[in-house]
Amino acid sequence: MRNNSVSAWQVGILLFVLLLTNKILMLPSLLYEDAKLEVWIVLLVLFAFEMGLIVLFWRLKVKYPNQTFMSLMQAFFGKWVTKIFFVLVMLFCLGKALLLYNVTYIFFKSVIYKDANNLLYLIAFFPVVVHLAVSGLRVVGRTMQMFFPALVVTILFCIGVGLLGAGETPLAFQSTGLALTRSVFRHISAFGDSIFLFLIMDKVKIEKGKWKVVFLFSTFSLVLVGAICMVFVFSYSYTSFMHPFALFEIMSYVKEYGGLGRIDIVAIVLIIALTYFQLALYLRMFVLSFDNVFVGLRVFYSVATFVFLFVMLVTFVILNVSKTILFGEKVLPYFAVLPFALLPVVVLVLLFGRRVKEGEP
Amino acid sequence: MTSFLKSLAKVPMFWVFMAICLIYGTTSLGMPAEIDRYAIVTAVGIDMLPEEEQYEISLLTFIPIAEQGFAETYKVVSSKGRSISEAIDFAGLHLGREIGLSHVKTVVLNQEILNENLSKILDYLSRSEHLVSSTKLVTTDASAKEFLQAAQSLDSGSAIKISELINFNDEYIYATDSSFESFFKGYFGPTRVSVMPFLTLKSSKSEGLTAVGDQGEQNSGEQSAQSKEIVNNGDAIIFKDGKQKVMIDGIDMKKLNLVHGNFNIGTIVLENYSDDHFDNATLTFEIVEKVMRYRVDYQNGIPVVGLSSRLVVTLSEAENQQGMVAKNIEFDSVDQKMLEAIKQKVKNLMGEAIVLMRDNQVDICDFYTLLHNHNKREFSHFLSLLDDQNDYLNRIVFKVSVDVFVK
Repeated sequence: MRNNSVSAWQVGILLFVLLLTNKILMLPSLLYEDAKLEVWIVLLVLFAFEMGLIVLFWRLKVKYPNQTFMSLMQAFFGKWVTKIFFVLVMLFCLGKALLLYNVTYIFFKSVIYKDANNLLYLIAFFPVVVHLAVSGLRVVGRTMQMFFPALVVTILFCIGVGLLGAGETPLAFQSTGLALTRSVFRHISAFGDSIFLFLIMDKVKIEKGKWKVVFLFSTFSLVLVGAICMVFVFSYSYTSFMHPFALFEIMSYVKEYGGLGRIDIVAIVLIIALTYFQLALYLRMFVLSFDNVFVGLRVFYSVATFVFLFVMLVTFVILNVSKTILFGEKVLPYFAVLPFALLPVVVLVLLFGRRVKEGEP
Repeated sequence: MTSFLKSLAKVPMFWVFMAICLIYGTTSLGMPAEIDRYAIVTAVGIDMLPEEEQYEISLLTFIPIAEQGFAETYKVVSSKGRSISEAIDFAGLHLGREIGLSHVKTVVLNQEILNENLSKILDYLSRSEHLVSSTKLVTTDASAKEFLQAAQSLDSGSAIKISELINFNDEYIYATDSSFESFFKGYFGPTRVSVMPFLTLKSSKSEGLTAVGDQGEQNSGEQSAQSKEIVNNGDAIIFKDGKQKVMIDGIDMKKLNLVHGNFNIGTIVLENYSDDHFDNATLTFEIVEKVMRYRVDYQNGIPVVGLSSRLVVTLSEAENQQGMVAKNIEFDSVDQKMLEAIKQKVKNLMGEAIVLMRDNQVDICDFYTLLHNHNKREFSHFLSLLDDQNDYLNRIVFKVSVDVFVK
C-alpha cells in the first residue's frame, strides 16, 4: 500500500469486513421474524443491492481512475449539493456506528459482563477505534490484512461447528410477498456499506484484471452472511426470537448440546475483533466526509465531532435492546435512501453525463 | 532502557493501555469475590400453592465456602412469591446472596401446575440471560421441593444425578429431549406439542431407573432421615399449547419412538414365539440401527403418509419355555418366520403409536410440517375441508412398511 493507496486485495479485505460485521449478530433473528424460512429471498435481494453499488463503483472508477468522488460531484452538482450529500454520509456513518456499538454492547452485557456500564465499554473500544481511524487507511488496511486469514478461518470454523446443530426443519412458505418486502425495507440499513469505496475513490488503485478479486471477496463475505443466517434458522427455527445473537448462538447451541466446552468463546473473540475494525471504518468514513464538508479543518475536529455525537446519542438516546431495534428497523432504513437511491442516481449521472476533466472544479 | 522507555512514552496507545490497566485493575481489585456474591443454583423446583395464590420456588443451591479447598455444601432453599421472579428475589434474601442461575441443569415442575399454561410459568426462567436453553425440564408427582430434597444428597455425593437421569432419557428412551429449547420449539411450532419426562418420588423400592438419596430436612432443622427414590420409568407428559394433554407410560413412549425415529437404542419383545429352536419363547431384540423414511402422496385430496422403517436388530435375550436353548442361535442366520414375526410386531407397535397420537390429537412426530413442506397448496386444501382442523391426524392415511435385518 504505497502512497496511501489501496490495492485490489486490500479493497477486497476492507469490503469483506464491512459487509460482514454488522450482519452476524442480531440481523438473522430479526430477519426470521418477518421472513420465516424464506429469509434467503430477503438476503438475495439485499445482496443484489449491495453488489449493485460495487458494480456502480467499478464503472465509475474505470471512467475516472484518478479523481475523487467529491470533485466529480462538485463538477456536476455544485458545491452546496455536494456538501449536503456528504453531511448525509456523515449521518449515515454515525447512525450505523451507533447501531453496531449498541448491538455489540448489549451482546457483551448479556453474555460476558452484565455489571459493566457503558463507560467501561466506551473506554475499551474508543481509544483503539480512534487510533485506528486517525492513523489512516494505510494502518487500517495493513492491520486488517494481517488479521484477515485468522478472521476467515474463525468464521468458517464457526459456521462448520454451527452446522452440527442445524437439524431443524421449520415450516416453509409461511411468509407473504408483503412480509418479505417489509423485511427488505426494515433491514436495508444493515447494507450499503460499500459507500466507503466512493469516499476513498482516488486512493483505490486496481490494476486491469484485478477487479475480480474485489467482487470475489465481496461475494464471499455475503455468502458467509447467508450461511450464518441459514445455520441459525435451521438451529433455532421457532425459537429464533429468543436467541438474538446469531453467530454466538449457533456456537452456543453446539456447546450446550454437543458438550464442546466453551467453544462459544471463539465467536466472542471474533465479534470483538470485527467490531473494532468496523467501528474504525465507520469513523474513517465520517472523517473523510467531514473533510469534504468542512474543508481545511484538522482531523481532530472531525474525530471530536464524531466522538461527541456518538457518546451523547449512545448515552441518552438508544442504549437498550428495544430502542436499538426500534432505531435499526424504524429510523435507520430511511438513511438507506442515501446508498440505495441518492448515490445510484448521482453515479448514473456521472457515468452517462459529460466527461469531467481532471482538476475541473 | 531509558531510550526504550522514552520511545514508549511517545506512543499514544501505550498510555491508553496504561489507563485501561489502571481503571480496570483498580475496579476489579475493589470488587467482592464472585463466590461471596453468588449462590450457585444447580436445580430449581416450582410448586403452586393455590390456596395462597402463590408460587413456591425451591432452589438446590451449592454454596461455595473458601477454606483451604472448597467445601461442597448443598442446601435446598424455598421461598414464596406471587410470581416466579418475586419468589427468586426472596430466596436471594434468605440466602444473603444473589441467585446465580448459570449452573442450573434441571427445573422440576410439580404435576399440579401442569394444567396452567406452562409458558407463562417458565417465562421468567426463559428470559434469564444466564439460564442455558439446554436446561432440562422434569415433572414429578411429588412436590418439587420434596423432589429436590431427595435430589440434594444425589447432587452432593451419589453416583447418579438427576441431570444424568434425564440425559439418559434423551439418548435412550425419549423421542425428543426435554430442554427449555425443545419445549419452546414444540410450543411455538405448528403442532404446539412438547414432551417432558415424568419422574416419581417413592419411599419404597420401585421398578425403573432409580436414584436413591437419604433425605434430610434442611430448612426447619428437623432430621427426618427418610429414604426416597427418584424413579424413572420412562413415563412422559405430552403438552399441547403449553398445557398437559396426556400422560403416557414408558412403553407407549417406546412405541412413539418407533414412528419418530430420533432415538439411539430400544428393544422389541417377541412373545410366545415358537419354531425349531424355541417353544413359546419370549425373545428380546435390541435395536442396533434404525432408519426411518417418510413419503407423502395425495389420493383424492387425502394425504397418504408412507412410514418406512429399516431396522437392524440383534437377539439379546431368549427366555424359552423348555429351558435354555443349547444351540448358539446368535450365530445362526435367523429364518424368515422370525423376521416376519418381528416385522409384524413392529408394525403393530407403530400402529398403536399412531392411534395414540390420533386419539389425543398430539402430533409428536410433526407430520404437519412434513405435509406442509411437501405440498402447501394441497395440504391447505385438505385442512380447509376438515370440520376440526386440529383433528387432521385422524384424516391422514398412514401406510407402514418395515424391513428388519439381523446383525
